[in-house]
Amino acid sequence: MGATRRQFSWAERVDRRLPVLLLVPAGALLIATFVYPIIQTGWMSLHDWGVGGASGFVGLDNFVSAVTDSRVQLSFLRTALFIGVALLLQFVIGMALAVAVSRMRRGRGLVTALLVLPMMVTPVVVGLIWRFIFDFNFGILNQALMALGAQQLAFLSDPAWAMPAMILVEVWQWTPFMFLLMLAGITTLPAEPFEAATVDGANFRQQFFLIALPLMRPVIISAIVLRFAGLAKEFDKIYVLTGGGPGSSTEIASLLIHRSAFGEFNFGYSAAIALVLALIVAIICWFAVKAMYSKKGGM
Amino acid sequence: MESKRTGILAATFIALAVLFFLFPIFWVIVTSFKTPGDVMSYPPTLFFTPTLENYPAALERQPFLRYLTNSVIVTVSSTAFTLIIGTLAGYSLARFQVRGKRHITFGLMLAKMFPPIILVLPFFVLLSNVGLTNNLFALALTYTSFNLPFITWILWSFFRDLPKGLEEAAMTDGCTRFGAFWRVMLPLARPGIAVAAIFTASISWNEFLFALNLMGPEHATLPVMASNFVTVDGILWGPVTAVGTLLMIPMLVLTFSLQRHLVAGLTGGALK
Repeated sequence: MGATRRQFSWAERVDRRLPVLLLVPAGALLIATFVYPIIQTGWMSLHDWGVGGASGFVGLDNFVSAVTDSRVQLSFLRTALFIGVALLLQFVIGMALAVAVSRMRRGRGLVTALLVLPMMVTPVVVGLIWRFIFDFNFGILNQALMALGAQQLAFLSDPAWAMPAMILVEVWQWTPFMFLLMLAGITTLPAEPFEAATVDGANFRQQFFLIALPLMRPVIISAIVLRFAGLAKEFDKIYVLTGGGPGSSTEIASLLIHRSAFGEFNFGYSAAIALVLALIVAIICWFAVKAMYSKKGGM
Repeated sequence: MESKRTGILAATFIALAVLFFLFPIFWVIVTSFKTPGDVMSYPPTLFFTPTLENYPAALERQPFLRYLTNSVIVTVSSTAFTLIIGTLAGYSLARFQVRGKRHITFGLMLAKMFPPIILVLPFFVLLSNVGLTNNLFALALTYTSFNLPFITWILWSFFRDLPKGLEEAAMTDGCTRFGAFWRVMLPLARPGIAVAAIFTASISWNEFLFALNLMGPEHATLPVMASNFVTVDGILWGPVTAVGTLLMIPMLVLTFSLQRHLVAGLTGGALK
């Protein structure tokens, strides 16, 4: 009798605290794997830190040299360019495709299934695929140029072509994501405003820009925010395609951080650059997520 | 007339897009069945005698089976960790008035967007200090941590949409709160859990940055093996395309067999 009562009250106590108890594993893991590393990175950034560990406290020296280093500045500008152009292209092409596919009467499911394939391919393999396509001698792109009587192009080892090539690969893999979200947005649009507009004689362009786009604002914001985050994480494909080269012409921030840590073993300096990037991304994401929240009317 | 012309334009546009998005995949798979001579031939051949020689050649260059085993261990264990922890947290957020819930979900979204490159270096130092570099479960745990925010988010939105009355009925019938969660809600949330499982599994299967830097050559995963083909003495396109094809197959199968879930998960995270 006593035992069952104790057991019952134990279960009851667990039950009462259940809401918080269920959150404990997730909270503990996230603190251990987000908060701890940031503190550790902060600590490293204040030191001259090599493979063997810290060899001296240097205060904010790493930050001062990071912010004034033209290699770092260029790398951050390059990252902004990469993200900006890729995001714009993904959005425009994805939206255009979604509009076109939404008007299909048959085969919409098949086309959607085919178009989402690129984003399911392992990023490293995407890098390999496009390295093959861009190859100077055996790549299909250069073979096509030769067939047209044009000069072969060293897409990945010519500084002028390397960044456009990266952006093309990024657009290839992730435009399907924009397409999916925009298609979902279009198919959930209400029919009435468009019927009314047609009666009033509005053409397709007016209906798209004045009715569809404003109604789709929440989906568009979400899609752009999610793609921004994805682009800010980009590493694998560029690592395989160019490794940041030729020279440093495709060295976006993630590759710079990686190179200075695991290529040049300058851990303290790398940590400082990482923190600067973290701060910038955190500020942008803060506003981005706020924008997503506000359109959802408070969750 | 006007609509017919735009119809043709739209169809052409879709056809070109399908060509652009599928051709690279198609071309790599086709090339993986060519002899070295056919790979290098100009103009490129579309009609050739297929060969399987690139596959054994690719697998001999690297201990493929070991990498495959590592990939499977990491993928399965991180998916299991993520689902268990994420289901509990997602359920709690969906059903209870937890203090600071708004901040928690806001934080989850922020954490999802955090670039992992910033976490690699401190993880490397931490794992070196405790002697866990080359430990596959340590790698799985890092995957769990960056999958967890989004998975919790997905499961939270699934649980939120389940009717509340069911648990209350179960509890009046004598279930504890946990019992109601375990026996009633969990089975109902199965579609959501399936979406979450596909996501964690594919992210873990594809992950490269952490596997490259935290694990030595003995404990690397398949993406690291694939990237090794590039850095060694020039690139042999036959074996490279074979490896690429091998890595793509599970993902392509997954896409076609679970397409509905995939679309639901991808758009669900953004449209809910």
